[in-house]
Amino acid sequence: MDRISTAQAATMPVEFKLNGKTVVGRSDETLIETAKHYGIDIPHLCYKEGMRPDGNCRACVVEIKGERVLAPSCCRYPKDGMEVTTDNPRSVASQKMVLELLLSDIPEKSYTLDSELDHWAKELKVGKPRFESRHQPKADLSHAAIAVNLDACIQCTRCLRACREEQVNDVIGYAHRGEHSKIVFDFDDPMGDSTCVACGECVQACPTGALMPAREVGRIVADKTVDSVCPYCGVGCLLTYNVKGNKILWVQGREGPANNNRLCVKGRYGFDYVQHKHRLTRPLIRKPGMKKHKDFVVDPDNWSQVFREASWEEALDFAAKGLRDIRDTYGKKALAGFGSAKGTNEEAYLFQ
Amino acid sequence: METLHWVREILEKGADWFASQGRNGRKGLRSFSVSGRVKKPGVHLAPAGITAKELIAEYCGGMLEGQKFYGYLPGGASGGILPASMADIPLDFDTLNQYGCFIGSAAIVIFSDRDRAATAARNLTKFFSEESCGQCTPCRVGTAKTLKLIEKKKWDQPLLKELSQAMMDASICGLGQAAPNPVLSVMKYFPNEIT
Repeated sequence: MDRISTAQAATMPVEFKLNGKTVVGRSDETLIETAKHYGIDIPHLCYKEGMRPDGNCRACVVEIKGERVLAPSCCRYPKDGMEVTTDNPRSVASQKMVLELLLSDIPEKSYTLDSELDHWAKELKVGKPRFESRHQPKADLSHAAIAVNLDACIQCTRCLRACREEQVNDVIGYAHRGEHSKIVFDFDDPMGDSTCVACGECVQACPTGALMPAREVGRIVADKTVDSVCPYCGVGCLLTYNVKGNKILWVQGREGPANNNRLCVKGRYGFDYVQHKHRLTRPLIRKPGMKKHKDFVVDPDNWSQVFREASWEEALDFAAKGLRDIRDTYGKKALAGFGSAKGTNEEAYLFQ
Repeated sequence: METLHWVREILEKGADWFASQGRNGRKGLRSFSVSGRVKKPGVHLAPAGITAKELIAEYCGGMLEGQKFYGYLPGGASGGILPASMADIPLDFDTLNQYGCFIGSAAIVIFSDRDRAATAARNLTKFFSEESCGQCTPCRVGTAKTLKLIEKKKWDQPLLKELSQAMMDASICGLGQAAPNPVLSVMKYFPNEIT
């Protein structure tokens, strides 16, 4: 028999039992993923598709026949002949208890409209938690773009993995022990004073709204969402704008080949220019007699002293004529230009 | 460590010598670390399978003057708690399992009529709560909530049992899995203390 590589072996089908039914999975696909293919949704919080599974929340525990304790389905892979049960009373009791324990420690009013903990608590019919709440930490609103409300934190460390492993910023850490365990920025600094670069990946990763866009915009229901491309550099990250009253509330990274759901500070938080009154929306042409000189400044609130509005046709003709005149008078070596990373590859090609 | 410690002597004196030691059908010797309300606490080398009652009487000089044997920890912080009425069980590997306890590192703590098992459970749960690393929910939150629940005079036993089961089933490591043992023991063997 020919030898097969590890990579080949990983794609070999693995037959095992899932809730009594024989199913086929892969040795490189976790139980939670295979279950999903077969229409079984196992509760999960610390697990997020595309992120390294950590298995700390224990909401996804399942019974594997022959094992003493329950196993986190987000971290375990099937083996031939394995018997996995996700929905028996023993597994469900632990799944529900984990949700109840976490619920008891977060505020009733959620910071997000889309809490994954609330979602699973509802799915599994977890009632009002029977435990006393923990001593709650104060909000950290020191950052201009991100609100930190650790009273809603469930210690799932998705933000930490987003910061450390996805973006490789390594600002977020997990400090202290036991019930005092806490998400920290650098050495437990206020987020606004930390070395955070505000990429917002942690906000996108947080399942409970403990990390949210500042000023509670995440709690406003958007009129619509607009799928778009980031207007900044040429990388072309895909994103979604959440819009209300024709104003952008907040931005979410969208799956695309260039960004894998991620965004940087500009794409995620740099959208105030869209509605800014100084934003140029139509071409301007210098008025006759307005001379150019090196100390030239123009008051953006009062540009009409120097410029007048023009149509695109007029402006393009005007600019083209100016460039053509220079070329014809002084030769083509007299022309130069600035390109930038803001241009796409195609634009850069045209520019040369 | 203890196993390694015995290797040389077993090699020198033979396996039969070691196996001829022991009591109540058990074989070998064991170092019992006895603390609590006995006259001579400390590490005592005694036959494996010795009972708590025998250990106190033969190795620890009996109970402290005027104090009555009330209960004991057969195996350290997570090995559970047993009442004096159950002090005739051989202390060895697997002999305590059916009672929801285990010998662990053979750290025996003896309680007298001046102690309460519920107080011991509070102390032990606080210990587990402080020792919890904070990684997984059942242990991190579970130990803290257990402590809150058992700080009350009257325990919410159905809730504690439910919580304990999840901690035993779903915690990542042995600390969280064994942390409910003292609490479960108190509910099982000392119910009059907490109702």
